[in-house]
Amino acid sequence: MLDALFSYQFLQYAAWACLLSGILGGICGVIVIEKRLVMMSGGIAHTAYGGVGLGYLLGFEPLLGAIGFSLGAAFGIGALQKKGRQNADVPTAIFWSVGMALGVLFIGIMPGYLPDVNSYLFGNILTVSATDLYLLSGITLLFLLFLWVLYEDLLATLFDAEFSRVSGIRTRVIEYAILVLVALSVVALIRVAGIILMLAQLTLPAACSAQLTKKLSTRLLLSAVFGVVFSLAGLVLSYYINISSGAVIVLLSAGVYLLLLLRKKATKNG
Amino acid sequence: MSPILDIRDLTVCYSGQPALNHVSFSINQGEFVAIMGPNGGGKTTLIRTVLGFLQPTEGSIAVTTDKIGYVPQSSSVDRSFPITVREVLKTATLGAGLHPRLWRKKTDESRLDSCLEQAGLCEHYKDRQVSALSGGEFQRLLLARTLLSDPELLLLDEPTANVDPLSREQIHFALKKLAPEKTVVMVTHDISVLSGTVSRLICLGDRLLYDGAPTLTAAGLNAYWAGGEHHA
Repeated sequence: MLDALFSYQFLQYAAWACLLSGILGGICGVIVIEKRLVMMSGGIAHTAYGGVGLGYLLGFEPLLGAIGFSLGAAFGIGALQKKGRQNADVPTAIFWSVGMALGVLFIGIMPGYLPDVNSYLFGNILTVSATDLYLLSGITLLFLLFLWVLYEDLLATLFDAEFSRVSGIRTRVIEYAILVLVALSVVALIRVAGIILMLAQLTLPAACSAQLTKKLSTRLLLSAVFGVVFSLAGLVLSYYINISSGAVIVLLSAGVYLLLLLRKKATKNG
Repeated sequence: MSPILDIRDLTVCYSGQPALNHVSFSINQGEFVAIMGPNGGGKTTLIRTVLGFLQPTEGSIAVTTDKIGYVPQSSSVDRSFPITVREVLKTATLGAGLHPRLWRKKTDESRLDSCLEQAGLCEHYKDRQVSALSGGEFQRLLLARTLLSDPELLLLDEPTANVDPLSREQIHFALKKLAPEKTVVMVTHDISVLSGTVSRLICLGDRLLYDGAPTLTAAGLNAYWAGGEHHA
Protein backbone atom coordinates (compact mmCIF):
# COMPACT_ATOMS: atom_id res chain seq x y z
CA MET A 1 0.00 0.00 0.00
CA LEU A 2 2.96 2.32 0.71
CA ASP A 3 3.85 2.40 -3.02
CA ALA A 4 0.29 3.35 -3.85
CA LEU A 5 0.30 6.00 -1.09
CA PHE A 6 3.31 7.73 -2.66
CA SER A 7 1.97 7.31 -6.20
CA TYR A 8 -1.66 8.43 -5.89
CA GLN A 9 -2.74 11.86 -4.69
CA PHE A 10 -6.22 10.64 -3.68
CA LEU A 11 -4.61 8.19 -1.23
CA GLN A 12 -2.42 10.95 0.22
CA TYR A 13 -5.52 13.11 0.67
CA ALA A 14 -7.29 10.15 2.29
CA ALA A 15 -4.41 9.65 4.76
CA TRP A 16 -4.45 13.35 5.71
CA ALA A 17 -8.23 13.19 6.09
CA CYS A 18 -7.85 10.19 8.44
CA LEU A 19 -5.31 12.05 10.56
CA LEU A 20 -7.33 15.27 10.81
CA SER A 21 -10.78 13.69 11.18
CA GLY A 22 -9.38 11.34 13.82
CA ILE A 23 -8.12 14.28 15.89
CA LEU A 24 -11.27 16.37 15.34
CA GLY A 25 -13.72 13.51 15.96
CA GLY A 26 -11.74 12.47 19.04
CA ILE A 27 -11.66 15.85 20.81
CA CYS A 28 -15.13 16.93 19.71
CA GLY A 29 -16.52 13.55 20.82
CA VAL A 30 -15.28 14.00 24.40
CA ILE A 31 -17.03 17.38 24.67
CA VAL A 32 -20.17 16.01 23.00
CA ILE A 33 -20.34 13.07 25.42
CA GLU A 34 -19.61 15.12 28.55
CA LYS A 35 -22.13 17.82 27.56
CA ARG A 36 -24.64 15.11 26.57
CA LEU A 37 -24.94 16.37 23.01
CA VAL A 38 -24.68 13.02 21.20
CA MET A 39 -28.24 12.95 19.85
CA MET A 40 -28.08 16.67 19.15
CA SER A 41 -24.98 16.03 16.99
CA GLY A 42 -26.95 13.38 15.08
CA GLY A 43 -29.73 15.94 14.61
CA ILE A 44 -27.25 18.56 13.36
CA ALA A 45 -25.69 16.08 10.90
CA HIS A 46 -29.04 15.05 9.43
CA THR A 47 -30.24 18.67 9.23
CA ALA A 48 -27.08 19.38 7.20
CA TYR A 49 -28.49 17.17 4.44
CA GLY A 50 -31.06 19.90 3.79
CA GLY A 51 -28.18 22.33 3.18
CA VAL A 52 -26.46 19.86 0.83
CA GLY A 53 -29.71 19.56 -1.16
CA LEU A 54 -30.14 23.36 -1.27
CA GLY A 55 -26.55 23.74 -2.51
CA TYR A 56 -27.18 21.31 -5.39
CA LEU A 57 -30.54 22.94 -6.23
CA LEU A 58 -29.25 26.52 -6.31
CA GLY A 59 -25.84 25.63 -7.74
CA PHE A 60 -23.51 26.63 -4.88
CA GLU A 61 -21.02 24.50 -2.90
CA PRO A 62 -23.14 21.92 -0.98
CA LEU A 63 -20.74 22.08 2.01
CA LEU A 64 -21.57 25.78 2.48
CA GLY A 65 -25.24 24.86 2.61
CA ALA A 66 -24.42 22.11 5.10
CA ILE A 67 -22.54 24.62 7.32
CA GLY A 68 -25.48 27.06 7.28
CA PHE A 69 -28.06 24.38 8.07
CA SER A 70 -25.85 22.84 10.81
CA LEU A 71 -25.34 26.16 12.57
CA GLY A 72 -29.08 26.85 12.28
CA ALA A 73 -29.84 23.43 13.77
CA ALA A 74 -27.37 23.86 16.65
CA PHE A 75 -28.82 27.23 17.69
CA GLY A 76 -32.40 26.20 16.87
CA ILE A 77 -32.33 23.04 18.97
CA GLY A 78 -30.68 24.95 21.83
CA ALA A 79 -33.25 27.76 21.70
CA LEU A 80 -36.27 25.44 21.42
CA GLN A 81 -34.95 23.41 24.33
CA LYS A 82 -34.61 26.50 26.54
CA LYS A 83 -37.93 28.06 25.51
CA GLY A 84 -39.97 24.90 25.79
CA ARG A 85 -38.42 23.74 29.08
CA GLN A 86 -38.23 20.27 27.57
CA ASN A 87 -35.34 17.91 27.04
CA ALA A 88 -33.49 18.09 23.76
CA ASP A 89 -35.06 14.93 22.27
CA VAL A 90 -38.15 16.55 20.73
CA PRO A 91 -36.46 19.54 19.00
CA THR A 92 -33.60 17.23 17.92
CA ALA A 93 -36.06 14.80 16.30
CA ILE A 94 -37.87 17.68 14.56
CA PHE A 95 -34.66 19.14 13.07
CA TRP A 96 -33.37 15.61 12.26
CA SER A 97 -36.38 14.61 10.15
CA VAL A 98 -37.21 18.04 8.66
CA GLY A 99 -33.58 18.51 7.52
CA MET A 100 -33.53 15.12 5.78
CA ALA A 101 -36.96 15.79 4.23
CA LEU A 102 -35.79 19.15 2.88
CA GLY A 103 -32.67 17.52 1.40
CA VAL A 104 -34.78 14.88 -0.36
CA LEU A 105 -37.21 17.60 -1.57
CA PHE A 106 -34.50 19.95 -2.90
CA ILE A 107 -32.70 17.15 -4.76
CA GLY A 108 -36.03 15.76 -6.03
CA ILE A 109 -37.10 19.04 -7.66
CA MET A 110 -33.71 19.59 -9.35
CA PRO A 111 -33.96 19.74 -13.10
CA GLY A 112 -31.87 17.27 -15.13
CA TYR A 113 -29.71 14.44 -13.77
CA LEU A 114 -29.80 13.87 -10.02
CA PRO A 115 -26.42 14.23 -8.24
CA ASP A 116 -24.82 11.32 -6.40
CA VAL A 117 -25.37 12.17 -2.72
CA ASN A 118 -24.14 8.82 -1.41
CA SER A 119 -20.78 10.29 -0.38
CA TYR A 120 -22.62 12.74 1.91
CA LEU A 121 -24.80 9.98 3.41
CA PHE A 122 -22.15 7.27 3.88
CA GLY A 123 -18.91 9.20 3.38
CA ASN A 124 -16.06 8.21 1.11
CA ILE A 125 -12.60 9.03 2.32
CA LEU A 126 -11.16 8.27 -1.12
CA THR A 127 -13.09 11.14 -2.73
CA VAL A 128 -11.93 13.81 -0.26
CA SER A 129 -10.79 16.95 -2.12
CA ALA A 130 -8.18 19.60 -1.30
CA THR A 131 -11.05 21.96 -0.31
CA ASP A 132 -12.38 19.34 2.14
CA LEU A 133 -8.89 19.05 3.65
CA TYR A 134 -8.58 22.83 4.07
CA LEU A 135 -11.98 22.87 5.83
CA LEU A 136 -11.00 19.94 8.04
CA SER A 137 -7.62 21.52 8.94
CA GLY A 138 -9.18 24.92 9.72
CA ILE A 139 -11.88 23.51 11.99
CA THR A 140 -9.45 21.14 13.75
CA LEU A 141 -7.03 24.03 14.43
CA LEU A 142 -9.89 26.24 15.66
CA PHE A 143 -11.10 23.52 18.06
CA LEU A 144 -7.57 22.84 19.38
CA LEU A 145 -6.97 26.57 19.87
CA PHE A 146 -10.26 26.90 21.79
CA LEU A 147 -9.30 23.98 24.05
CA TRP A 148 -5.78 25.28 24.68
CA VAL A 149 -6.73 28.90 25.37
CA LEU A 150 -9.97 28.49 27.35
CA TYR A 151 -9.54 25.03 28.91
CA GLU A 152 -10.22 26.21 32.50
CA ASP A 153 -13.41 28.06 31.48
CA LEU A 154 -14.54 25.00 29.52
CA LEU A 155 -13.85 22.68 32.47
CA ALA A 156 -15.78 24.95 34.87
CA THR A 157 -18.74 25.27 32.49
CA LEU A 158 -18.93 21.57 31.69
CA PHE A 159 -18.77 20.56 35.36
CA ASP A 160 -21.27 23.06 36.81
CA ALA A 161 -22.54 25.81 34.49
CA GLU A 162 -24.84 27.40 37.10
CA PHE A 163 -22.15 27.82 39.74
CA SER A 164 -19.73 29.12 37.10
CA ARG A 165 -22.32 31.66 35.97
CA VAL A 166 -22.81 32.88 39.56
CA SER A 167 -18.99 33.17 39.83
CA GLY A 168 -19.01 35.48 36.80
CA ILE A 169 -17.46 33.08 34.28
CA ARG A 170 -18.80 33.80 30.77
CA THR A 171 -20.61 30.47 30.49
CA ARG A 172 -22.88 31.69 27.67
CA VAL A 173 -19.81 32.47 25.52
CA ILE A 174 -18.39 29.01 26.23
CA GLU A 175 -21.71 27.27 25.54
CA TYR A 176 -22.26 29.10 22.24
CA ALA A 177 -18.64 28.42 21.24
CA ILE A 178 -19.24 24.70 21.91
CA LEU A 179 -22.40 24.74 19.75
CA VAL A 180 -20.61 26.46 16.85
CA LEU A 181 -17.57 24.17 17.05
CA VAL A 182 -19.70 21.00 17.25
CA ALA A 183 -21.80 22.14 14.26
CA LEU A 184 -18.67 22.91 12.18
CA SER A 185 -16.98 19.65 13.22
CA VAL A 186 -20.04 17.64 12.23
CA VAL A 187 -19.96 19.18 8.73
CA ALA A 188 -16.22 18.53 8.38
CA LEU A 189 -16.66 14.89 9.46
CA ILE A 190 -19.59 14.31 7.09
CA ARG A 191 -17.21 14.35 4.08
CA VAL A 192 -15.13 11.58 5.66
CA ALA A 193 -17.61 9.39 7.52
CA GLY A 194 -20.96 10.50 6.07
CA ILE A 195 -24.09 11.76 7.80
CA ILE A 196 -25.13 8.28 8.93
CA LEU A 197 -21.78 6.96 10.20
CA MET A 198 -20.45 10.26 11.58
CA LEU A 199 -21.92 9.65 15.06
CA ALA A 200 -19.63 6.63 15.48
CA GLN A 201 -16.56 8.74 14.68
CA LEU A 202 -17.65 11.21 17.36
CA THR A 203 -18.59 8.76 20.12
CA LEU A 204 -16.44 5.62 19.84
CA PRO A 205 -12.92 7.08 20.29
CA ALA A 206 -14.22 9.19 23.19
CA ALA A 207 -15.99 6.20 24.73
CA CYS A 208 -12.79 4.09 24.40
CA SER A 209 -10.68 6.78 26.11
CA ALA A 210 -13.28 7.05 28.92
CA GLN A 211 -12.57 3.38 29.71
CA LEU A 212 -8.90 4.15 30.31
CA THR A 213 -8.70 7.50 32.14
CA LYS A 214 -10.75 9.71 34.45
CA LYS A 215 -8.92 12.96 33.69
CA LEU A 216 -10.53 15.22 31.09
CA SER A 217 -7.30 16.50 29.51
CA THR A 218 -5.90 12.95 29.20
CA ARG A 219 -9.25 11.79 27.86
CA LEU A 220 -9.10 14.45 25.12
CA LEU A 221 -5.57 13.40 24.14
CA LEU A 222 -6.30 9.65 24.18
CA SER A 223 -9.53 10.10 22.25
CA ALA A 224 -7.68 11.95 19.48
CA VAL A 225 -5.06 9.16 19.36
CA PHE A 226 -7.81 6.50 19.16
CA GLY A 227 -9.54 8.52 16.43
CA VAL A 228 -6.38 8.72 14.30
CA VAL A 229 -5.48 5.04 14.81
CA PHE A 230 -9.02 3.82 14.00
CA SER A 231 -9.24 5.99 10.88
CA LEU A 232 -5.80 5.03 9.50
CA ALA A 233 -6.26 1.33 10.34
CA GLY A 234 -9.72 1.42 8.76
CA LEU A 235 -8.29 3.00 5.61
CA VAL A 236 -5.54 0.35 5.32
CA LEU A 237 -7.99 -2.52 5.95
CA SER A 238 -10.54 -1.18 3.47
CA TYR A 239 -7.76 -0.91 0.85
CA TYR A 240 -6.91 -4.60 1.21
CA ILE A 241 -10.43 -6.05 1.60
CA ASN A 242 -12.01 -3.57 -0.82
CA ILE A 243 -14.95 -2.51 1.42
CA SER A 244 -16.18 1.03 2.17
CA SER A 245 -13.68 2.71 4.52
CA GLY A 246 -16.45 4.35 6.66
CA ALA A 247 -17.98 0.99 7.53
CA VAL A 248 -14.57 -0.55 8.34
CA ILE A 249 -13.62 2.40 10.61
CA VAL A 250 -16.92 2.13 12.53
CA LEU A 251 -16.74 -1.66 12.97
CA LEU A 252 -13.09 -1.53 14.00
CA SER A 253 -13.79 1.22 16.59
CA ALA A 254 -16.82 -0.67 17.96
CA GLY A 255 -14.73 -3.84 18.22
CA VAL A 256 -11.98 -2.10 20.24
CA TYR A 257 -14.62 -0.47 22.47
CA LEU A 258 -16.17 -3.88 23.16
CA LEU A 259 -12.74 -5.33 24.02
CA LEU A 260 -12.05 -2.44 26.42
CA LEU A 261 -15.43 -2.99 28.09
CA LEU A 262 -14.71 -6.70 28.50
CA ARG A 263 -11.24 -5.92 29.87
CA LYS A 264 -12.74 -3.53 32.43
CA LYS A 265 -15.32 -6.11 33.47
CA ALA A 266 -12.63 -8.79 33.79
CA THR A 267 -10.45 -6.46 35.90
CA LYS A 268 -13.42 -5.72 38.19
CA ASN A 269 -14.29 -9.39 38.63
CA GLY A 270 -10.65 -10.43 38.99
CA MET B 1 -28.50 47.05 60.98
CA SER B 2 -29.00 47.31 57.22
CA PRO B 3 -30.30 44.18 55.48
CA ILE B 4 -27.96 42.32 53.14
CA LEU B 5 -30.98 40.81 51.35
CA ASP B 6 -34.30 42.65 51.08
CA ILE B 7 -37.23 40.97 49.36
CA ARG B 8 -40.33 43.11 48.76
CA ASP B 9 -43.70 41.76 47.58
CA LEU B 10 -42.02 39.11 45.43
CA THR B 11 -44.16 37.05 43.07
CA VAL B 12 -42.63 34.49 40.68
CA CYS B 13 -44.85 32.55 38.27
CA TYR B 14 -44.29 29.46 36.12
CA SER B 15 -46.69 29.43 33.15
CA GLY B 16 -49.00 31.85 34.99
CA GLN B 17 -49.06 29.78 38.20
CA PRO B 18 -47.40 31.51 41.19
CA ALA B 19 -44.59 29.55 42.88
CA LEU B 20 -44.07 32.54 45.19
CA ASN B 21 -46.95 34.86 46.00
CA HIS B 22 -46.29 38.38 47.36
CA VAL B 23 -43.47 37.33 49.70
CA SER B 24 -41.64 39.99 51.74
CA PHE B 25 -38.83 39.68 54.27
CA SER B 26 -35.30 40.92 54.83
CA ILE B 27 -32.16 39.25 56.13
CA ASN B 28 -29.51 41.12 58.11
CA GLN B 29 -25.76 40.64 57.93
CA GLY B 30 -24.47 37.73 59.99
CA GLU B 31 -27.78 35.89 60.28
CA PHE B 32 -28.02 32.13 59.76
CA VAL B 33 -31.46 31.53 58.25
CA ALA B 34 -33.17 28.24 57.42
CA ILE B 35 -35.88 28.33 54.75
CA MET B 36 -38.29 25.44 55.11
CA GLY B 37 -41.63 24.47 53.65
CA PRO B 38 -43.49 21.76 51.81
CA ASN B 39 -42.32 20.45 48.42
CA GLY B 40 -43.30 22.96 45.72
CA GLY B 41 -43.49 25.73 48.32
CA GLY B 42 -41.15 28.03 46.37
CA LYS B 43 -37.92 27.59 48.36
CA THR B 44 -35.66 26.76 45.44
CA THR B 45 -37.53 29.30 43.28
CA LEU B 46 -36.63 31.97 45.84
CA ILE B 47 -32.90 31.07 45.77
CA ARG B 48 -32.85 30.91 41.96
CA THR B 49 -34.58 34.29 41.70
CA VAL B 50 -32.09 35.91 44.08
CA LEU B 51 -29.28 34.44 41.92
CA GLY B 52 -30.83 35.87 38.74
CA PHE B 53 -31.67 32.52 37.10
CA LEU B 54 -35.38 33.46 37.27
CA GLN B 55 -37.02 36.85 36.81
CA PRO B 56 -39.60 38.17 39.33
CA THR B 57 -43.12 38.51 37.93
CA GLU B 58 -43.77 41.25 40.50
CA GLY B 59 -41.89 42.80 43.39
CA SER B 60 -38.20 43.40 43.94
CA ILE B 61 -35.03 41.87 45.35
CA ALA B 62 -32.27 44.09 46.72
CA VAL B 63 -28.87 42.55 47.55
CA THR B 64 -26.30 44.93 49.02
CA THR B 65 -23.27 42.77 48.16
CA ASP B 66 -21.95 41.32 44.92
CA LYS B 67 -20.01 38.67 46.85
CA ILE B 68 -22.65 35.94 46.69
CA GLY B 69 -21.75 32.27 47.14
CA TYR B 70 -24.00 29.49 45.91
CA VAL B 71 -24.07 25.82 46.87
CA PRO B 72 -26.47 24.00 44.50
CA GLN B 73 -28.34 20.79 45.22
CA SER B 74 -25.70 18.10 44.83
CA SER B 75 -28.06 16.13 42.59
CA SER B 76 -27.89 18.95 40.02
CA VAL B 77 -24.12 18.46 39.54
CA ASP B 78 -22.77 15.51 37.54
CA ARG B 79 -20.62 13.53 39.96
CA SER B 80 -19.39 11.17 37.24
CA PHE B 81 -17.66 14.07 35.42
CA PRO B 82 -13.90 13.40 34.98
CA ILE B 83 -12.49 16.04 37.32
CA THR B 84 -10.35 16.07 40.47
CA VAL B 85 -11.09 17.90 43.73
CA ARG B 86 -8.21 20.33 42.98
CA GLU B 87 -9.65 21.13 39.55
CA VAL B 88 -13.11 21.76 41.04
CA LEU B 89 -11.63 24.14 43.60
CA LYS B 90 -9.59 25.93 40.93
CA THR B 91 -12.77 26.71 38.97
CA ALA B 92 -13.85 28.88 41.93
CA THR B 93 -10.61 30.88 41.91
CA LEU B 94 -10.93 31.99 38.29
CA GLY B 95 -13.10 35.04 38.98
CA ALA B 96 -15.31 36.89 36.51
CA GLY B 97 -14.88 36.95 32.72
CA LEU B 98 -12.93 34.64 30.44
CA HIS B 99 -9.53 33.27 31.41
CA PRO B 100 -7.14 32.74 28.48
CA ARG B 101 -4.21 30.50 29.35
CA LEU B 102 -1.51 33.17 29.04
CA TRP B 103 -3.32 35.66 31.33
CA ARG B 104 -4.21 33.16 34.04
CA LYS B 105 -2.98 33.71 37.59
CA LYS B 106 -1.27 30.97 39.57
CA THR B 107 -3.51 29.24 42.12
CA ASP B 108 -2.72 29.77 45.80
CA GLU B 109 -2.66 26.16 47.07
CA SER B 110 -2.77 27.25 50.73
CA ARG B 111 -6.15 28.92 50.09
CA LEU B 112 -7.48 25.68 48.63
CA ASP B 113 -6.29 23.81 51.73
CA SER B 114 -7.80 26.36 54.09
CA CYS B 115 -11.24 26.26 52.41
CA LEU B 116 -11.20 22.46 52.33
CA GLU B 117 -10.48 22.50 56.06
CA GLN B 118 -13.28 25.00 56.73
CA ALA B 119 -15.69 22.64 54.97
CA GLY B 120 -14.48 19.68 57.03
CA LEU B 121 -12.17 18.04 54.46
CA CYS B 122 -8.38 17.78 54.50
CA GLU B 123 -5.78 18.58 51.84
CA HIS B 124 -5.26 14.86 51.02
CA TYR B 125 -8.56 15.00 49.11
CA LYS B 126 -7.15 17.37 46.49
CA ASP B 127 -5.91 14.70 44.08
CA ARG B 128 -8.98 12.49 44.39
CA GLN B 129 -11.46 12.10 41.57
CA VAL B 130 -14.86 13.62 42.36
CA SER B 131 -16.50 10.33 41.32
CA ALA B 132 -14.62 8.61 44.18
CA LEU B 133 -16.11 10.87 46.89
CA SER B 134 -19.03 9.87 49.11
CA GLY B 135 -22.23 11.94 49.04
CA GLY B 136 -21.24 13.81 52.21
CA GLU B 137 -17.69 14.47 50.98
CA PHE B 138 -19.00 15.75 47.66
CA GLN B 139 -21.40 18.12 49.43
CA ARG B 140 -18.55 19.45 51.58
CA LEU B 141 -16.45 19.91 48.43
CA LEU B 142 -19.24 22.08 46.95
CA LEU B 143 -19.20 24.13 50.17
CA ALA B 144 -15.38 24.48 50.07
CA ARG B 145 -15.58 25.59 46.42
CA THR B 146 -18.02 28.34 47.35
CA LEU B 147 -15.92 29.51 50.30
CA LEU B 148 -12.97 30.10 47.92
CA SER B 149 -14.79 33.10 46.45
CA ASP B 150 -14.96 34.57 49.99
CA PRO B 151 -18.73 35.30 49.83
CA GLU B 152 -20.52 37.69 52.19
CA LEU B 153 -23.90 36.10 51.43
CA LEU B 154 -24.00 32.31 51.16
CA LEU B 155 -27.05 30.65 49.57
CA LEU B 156 -27.37 26.88 49.99
CA ASP B 157 -30.01 24.67 48.36
CA GLU B 158 -30.60 21.55 50.45
CA PRO B 159 -26.95 21.01 51.41
CA THR B 160 -27.72 17.96 53.54
CA ALA B 161 -30.08 16.13 51.18
CA ASN B 162 -28.94 12.53 50.53
CA VAL B 163 -26.05 12.59 53.03
CA ASP B 164 -25.52 10.35 56.05
CA PRO B 165 -26.27 11.71 59.58
CA LEU B 166 -22.57 12.13 60.47
CA SER B 167 -21.84 14.16 57.32
CA ARG B 168 -24.98 16.19 57.98
CA GLU B 169 -23.69 17.11 61.44
CA GLN B 170 -20.26 18.03 60.00
CA ILE B 171 -21.85 20.26 57.36
CA HIS B 172 -24.06 22.00 59.95
CA PHE B 173 -21.02 22.49 62.20
CA ALA B 174 -19.00 24.00 59.33
CA LEU B 175 -21.85 26.35 58.41
CA LYS B 176 -22.42 27.45 62.00
CA LYS B 177 -18.77 28.48 62.25
CA LEU B 178 -19.20 30.76 59.21
CA ALA B 179 -21.87 32.97 60.86
CA PRO B 180 -21.79 35.77 62.01
CA GLU B 181 -18.85 36.65 59.73
CA LYS B 182 -20.93 35.54 56.73
CA THR B 183 -24.67 35.61 56.18
CA VAL B 184 -25.96 32.11 55.54
CA VAL B 185 -29.34 31.31 53.94
CA MET B 186 -30.08 27.61 53.68
CA VAL B 187 -33.04 25.87 52.04
CA THR B 188 -33.56 22.61 53.89
CA HIS B 189 -36.04 19.89 54.84
CA ASP B 190 -33.90 18.87 57.79
CA ILE B 191 -35.64 19.86 61.05
CA SER B 192 -32.55 19.03 63.11
CA VAL B 193 -31.22 22.51 62.18
CA LEU B 194 -33.89 23.98 64.48
CA SER B 195 -32.06 22.64 67.55
CA GLY B 196 -29.36 25.25 67.85
CA THR B 197 -27.88 25.46 64.33
CA VAL B 198 -29.80 28.37 62.76
CA SER B 199 -30.73 31.73 64.29
CA ARG B 200 -33.95 32.24 62.33
CA LEU B 201 -36.58 30.20 60.49
CA ILE B 202 -38.61 31.22 57.45
CA CYS B 203 -41.41 28.94 56.21
CA LEU B 204 -42.65 29.22 52.64
CA GLY B 205 -45.69 27.55 51.12
CA ASP B 206 -45.89 29.71 47.97
CA ARG B 207 -46.42 32.64 50.41
CA LEU B 208 -44.74 33.50 53.70
CA LEU B 209 -46.12 31.16 56.40
CA TYR B 210 -43.73 31.82 59.28
CA ASP B 211 -40.84 34.15 60.00
CA GLY B 212 -39.30 34.08 63.43
CA ALA B 213 -37.25 32.20 65.99
CA PRO B 214 -36.34 28.59 65.16
CA THR B 215 -38.37 27.20 68.01
CA LEU B 216 -40.97 25.18 66.15
CA THR B 217 -41.29 21.43 66.57
CA ALA B 218 -42.10 19.10 63.66
CA ALA B 219 -45.77 19.18 64.74
CA GLY B 220 -45.68 22.98 64.83
CA LEU B 221 -44.20 23.13 61.34
CA ASN B 222 -46.86 20.79 60.01
CA ALA B 223 -49.57 22.98 61.55
CA TYR B 224 -48.17 26.03 59.74
CA TRP B 225 -47.93 24.18 56.43
CA ALA B 226 -51.44 22.79 56.74
CA GLY B 227 -53.07 25.94 58.11
CA GLY B 228 -51.11 28.51 56.09
CA GLU B 229 -50.83 30.87 59.06
CA HIS B 230 -48.69 33.97 58.73
CA HIS B 231 -46.60 35.15 61.64
CA ALA B 232 -44.36 38.16 61.17
